Amino acid sequence: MVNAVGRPYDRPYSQYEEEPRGTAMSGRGASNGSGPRESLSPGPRAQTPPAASGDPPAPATDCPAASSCGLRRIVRVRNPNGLHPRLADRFIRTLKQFSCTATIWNGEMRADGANIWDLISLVVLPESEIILEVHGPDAARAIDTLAEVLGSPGGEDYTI
Amino acid sequence: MRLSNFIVREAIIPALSVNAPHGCDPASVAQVKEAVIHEMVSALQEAGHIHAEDVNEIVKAILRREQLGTTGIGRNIAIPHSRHPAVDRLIGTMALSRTGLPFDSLDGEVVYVFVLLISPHDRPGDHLRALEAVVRAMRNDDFVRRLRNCQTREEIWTLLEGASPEW
Repeated sequence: MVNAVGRPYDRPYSQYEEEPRGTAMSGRGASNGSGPRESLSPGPRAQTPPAASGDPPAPATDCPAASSCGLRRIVRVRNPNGLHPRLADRFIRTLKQFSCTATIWNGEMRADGANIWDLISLVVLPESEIILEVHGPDAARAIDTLAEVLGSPGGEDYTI
Repeated sequence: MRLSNFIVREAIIPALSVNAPHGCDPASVAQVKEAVIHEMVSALQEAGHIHAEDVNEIVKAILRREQLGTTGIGRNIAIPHSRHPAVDRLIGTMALSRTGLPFDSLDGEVVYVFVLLISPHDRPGDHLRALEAVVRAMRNDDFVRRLRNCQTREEIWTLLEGASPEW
């Protein structure tokens, strides 16, 4: 038996460890159609994410119709535990400081950035590239901070 | 990944012995958390999946994780978890509370269903996929209703094994 993205369900879970990013997810966004990379303008899409944590973040992408699609940025998740619940919680708390909404894309999967259940469902592994999409009057102000939360290696206790 | 891939059948607790406290002050909630986590980790030890000498350290690690942010993710579900070198693969157990227990949940509600996870440090992918499996299952109201109606370990295990893969 396979799910909507073609992943067989009957494999032992240990076989998923080396699965290519973007194919092992099955959250509610599985059938949301193409992700936003296809609609990124050529410039931002071609931008290489910062190679090291000290590098400046990639600039926000102003969509051709910014009022409808908001701002987008490719973010590499450097947290060694990936987008785990604590990081998701930190992201949600940060998002609440702004008047905007956020969507996070991991391949074809998308999550409401304010919903921890959605964010856990994305299964964002360490060193994955995700797309942060921010809408709302605070979007331009929020995207740097939100991208920093997602892309920061942390400073947290990784042993628990 | 499915819940039955990592939940230890023999460690499932159909009815926690922890009782709801009279108050919901922080001290009472902390006591509940410790009692629930200790009972669940002990069940894994009694099932032979962790050594007795590791129980207290694992409980401490999970409690330390709770202090950094609650794993009561709302909708009456909590997923206490931690990484710990005492295990060489992801393991977990499930416990039900008949009365509902305060767990500092994000939505302020009591918790009826607990899924505890312990994973080694070097398998973040397994850890994330297990969390996703829990969330996927618990999004299904019918599954949660049937789960909470289970009275025995075997009933819970049968439900987990027979659950639709989409859950």
